Amino acid sequence: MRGETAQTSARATALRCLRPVLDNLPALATLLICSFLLLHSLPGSQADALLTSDLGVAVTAEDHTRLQARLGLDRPLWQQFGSWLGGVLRGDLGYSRLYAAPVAQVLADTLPWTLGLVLVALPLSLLTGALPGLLAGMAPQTGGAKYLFALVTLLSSLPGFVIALLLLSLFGFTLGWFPTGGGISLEARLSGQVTLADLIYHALLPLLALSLHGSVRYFYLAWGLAQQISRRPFIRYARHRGIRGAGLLWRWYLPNAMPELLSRLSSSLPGILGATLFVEVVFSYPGAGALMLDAINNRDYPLLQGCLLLTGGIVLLGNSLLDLITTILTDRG
Amino acid sequence: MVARSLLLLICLLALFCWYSDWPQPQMSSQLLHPPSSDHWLGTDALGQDLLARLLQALPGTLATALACGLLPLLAGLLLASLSALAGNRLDRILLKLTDIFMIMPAILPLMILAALLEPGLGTVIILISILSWPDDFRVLRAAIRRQLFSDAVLTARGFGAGPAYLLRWHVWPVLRPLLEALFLQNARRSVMLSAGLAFLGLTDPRMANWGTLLLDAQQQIHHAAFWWMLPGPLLAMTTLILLLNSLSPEERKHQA
Repeated sequence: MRGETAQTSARATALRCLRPVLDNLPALATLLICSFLLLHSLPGSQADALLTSDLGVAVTAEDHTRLQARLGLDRPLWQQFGSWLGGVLRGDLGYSRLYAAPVAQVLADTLPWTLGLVLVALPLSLLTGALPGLLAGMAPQTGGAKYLFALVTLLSSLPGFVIALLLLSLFGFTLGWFPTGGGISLEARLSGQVTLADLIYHALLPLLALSLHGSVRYFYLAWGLAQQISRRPFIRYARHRGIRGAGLLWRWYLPNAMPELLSRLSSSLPGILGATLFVEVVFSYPGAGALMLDAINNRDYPLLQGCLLLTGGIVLLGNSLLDLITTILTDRG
Repeated sequence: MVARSLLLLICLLALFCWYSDWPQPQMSSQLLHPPSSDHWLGTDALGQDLLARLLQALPGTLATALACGLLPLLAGLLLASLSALAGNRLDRILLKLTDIFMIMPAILPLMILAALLEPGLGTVIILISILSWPDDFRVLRAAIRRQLFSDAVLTARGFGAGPAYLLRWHVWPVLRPLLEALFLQNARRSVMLSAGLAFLGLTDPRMANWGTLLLDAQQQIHHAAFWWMLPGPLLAMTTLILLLNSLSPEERKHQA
């Protein structure tokens, strides 16, 4: 009997952990269908693109039909979707004219850059937003807290790309402390020897812009949470015991605010990723955002489709992972 | 009070600009001139007066804020009311749909659709509205559900009130402060989003927008002109957003 109960509860736990993953499946399906329809609904078919040439060869309607049959464009839409989906699952995303390389390969080159930015900026924005927020929320009436609050309100009125632009012009151009663009220095690109210091040096300003932009929502959240926590009896007791400042923040406020703060991580992923696209464009960072804009401006649709799949995939995967982690952390049996 | 009258003043100015078609920035041979008594904010790379371009974008920006504040709100309110009253299946479908919307960064579909359509003002408004109703729907759905269990509604139900009557007299009036807050939040977001699209150069180049001005400024980042091209659109946008922010009711101000 006991073993059976343990088995059912194990199965229940597994189900509970799988739920967030399953919840994202409809979104994945929508993403795939939308990406496919995007390419398909564009004016001009692949057959037109292949047959058009500057040499002025006379193209008969028969040629056109034959090519369409060869490319499989005469089949019903759902069959075409099926074969495209099969290709995507095998990692075949088409061919990018702009980069003269398979889309999958172009994307694989840019993925680490974007992923690196997002993965570092996400916890960094939590840190840079939540700690000042808690600190200010602990004593909302003091001058410092009011000053900080006003500063963050000002920051919240600036779109991410404006923050990036200001940082770039100030620290990159006027002061010259940081590089003005790119992911690695020119020498590193020429010699092929990439050092970690060089990577960090180039990523610092984009990361700062992203974290500043992302930290705003955590600041307000932490500010509100701190005021709620302040009303609880154990805080009053701690204050009576003479605990002040950093100790109070670290041992009393932070642990009580943490669950709420962490639960917002997954919902801030889309926002951070969206801001990343802009920040990459401003800093000419070699990531998916800059690539996407390139693809749009050059009408390279397979590449655009790949970018859409990639960024959408990152969000879905990240979302599932964060949900999974939260579920496991909050799973108390 | 100050914020309210300032915003009113800006709206009047925008109305005047729109009605009289007044600032028509002309190209001139004075390229990238610093601010002077002729050109208060200086000139850009085409010799156009920057203040004129700033004013030219004002009506469009306010129209975006107004329309993108209202349209998603109306759609959200309608759908939330329907789903709260019409029952389970519709509710579940709509919730799932909003789930999908919330997972995607709004800028992603916006960028791609914008790339295909090269949208003017109207299309930008519609695109942003389509992408921002799910937020409003979720908040309003929760509020309506809460309200449906209030004493007032239960009593009115006991007297045989129908759904339309309940919504009109007992649910919607209570939601008013929430609706105002959501409107302002939508408006703020749409100003930033449309400026973002224009900054990436994805909108119709004829559409005047502060984002385009920021893009022009970025292209002069190596030139001293950056320092008089940036402040205009930057301050204009920040001021508008802060003004909208200051109108929100205190408790819902920072949940954007």
